[in-house]
Amino acid sequence: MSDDAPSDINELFSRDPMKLTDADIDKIIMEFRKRRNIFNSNPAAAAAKPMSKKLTAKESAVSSLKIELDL
Amino acid sequence: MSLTAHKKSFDNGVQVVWDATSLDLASACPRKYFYRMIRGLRPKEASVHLLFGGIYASALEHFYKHRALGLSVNEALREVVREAMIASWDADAGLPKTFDDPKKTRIALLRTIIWYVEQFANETQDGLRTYHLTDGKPAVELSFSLEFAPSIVYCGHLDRVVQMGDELYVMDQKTTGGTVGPYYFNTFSPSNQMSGYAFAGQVILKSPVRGVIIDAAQIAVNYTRFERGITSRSKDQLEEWFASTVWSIQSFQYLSEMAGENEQKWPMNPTACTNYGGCEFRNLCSRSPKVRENFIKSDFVPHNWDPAVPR
Repeated sequence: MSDDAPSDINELFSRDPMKLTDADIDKIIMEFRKRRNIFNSNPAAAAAKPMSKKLTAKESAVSSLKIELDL
Repeated sequence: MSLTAHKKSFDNGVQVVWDATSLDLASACPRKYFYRMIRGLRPKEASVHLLFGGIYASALEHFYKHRALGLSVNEALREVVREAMIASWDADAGLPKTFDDPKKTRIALLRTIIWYVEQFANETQDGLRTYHLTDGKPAVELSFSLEFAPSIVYCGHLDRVVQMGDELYVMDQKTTGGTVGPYYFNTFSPSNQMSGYAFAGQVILKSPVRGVIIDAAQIAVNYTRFERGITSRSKDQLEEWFASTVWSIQSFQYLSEMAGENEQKWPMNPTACTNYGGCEFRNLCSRSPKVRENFIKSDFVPHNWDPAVPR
């Protein structure tokens, strides 16, 4: 599933659509309406695809260390 | 003529009922027409563009049908969202269908349907309104079948006819992953599909139809952007399209009579192989003729598109 899905409807998209209620469908519609309003309020910003942050060598080392400590 | 014996659009191996799809196939490449219409093949892996575009077009067509039957915008939208959720679900696997494209995903499909309705669904007196026939019925889902000449019937389906001021237009919707601008809309003139819509519209409605209004949806990763464009057709242009279409179809029928079901007698048009993202039969045509049948068995499935079968 695309990561542009509103997180609280991810679950609805993973369900058998035959079992979705009218309230479930309305929730999907409302979520996309909300996203459209956000897009329309600032199309340029909303359209910009978030770039994945490339970690520096130091940040990588720190995150590796943190994982080891967590373990 | 065993390959086409089951198709209503064929008579003794020659296609007599045509639509824009089969006309474009034959116009683009006779070999492509042979594989699709006579052999009845399509790639085993369904095109994501056909999957996405097909569900989207059905959703909007049904939306306007529900509206014509008296449902409110919200009720009609709920119906088509449910239909699209079901159509994009693989019930056997218990999973969403595979949309193998970074932009045309299942999420983007539902977003595009909902955003389209938000942008265009509310009709106003000074904007576009669904045209009503003389019997009062809304001009939605109009199938047509016109006899162009002896042994040539041209058929198709108008989703919706609208009125803008005093002028009539056929409505159509398109989706694209690319940018929508003047260049995009220019690709619809000339176009068999659009000219056929305008021609059929004026015959069915017995009124001049100025052209086709195209609501194009640009599908991006995080958003869908809509542009509305018009491709106009004058009376002279439609007369030219009609004469040219009859002549083209007669040429294809003559080729059918000469070539029959012999693949080698259906010439390839290599200049069309890369059009529109690449022909679905390109990999097949690039194989040696001796091994081609094996690839058909492994990579293709039956696809019996028949223009004579009503939708």
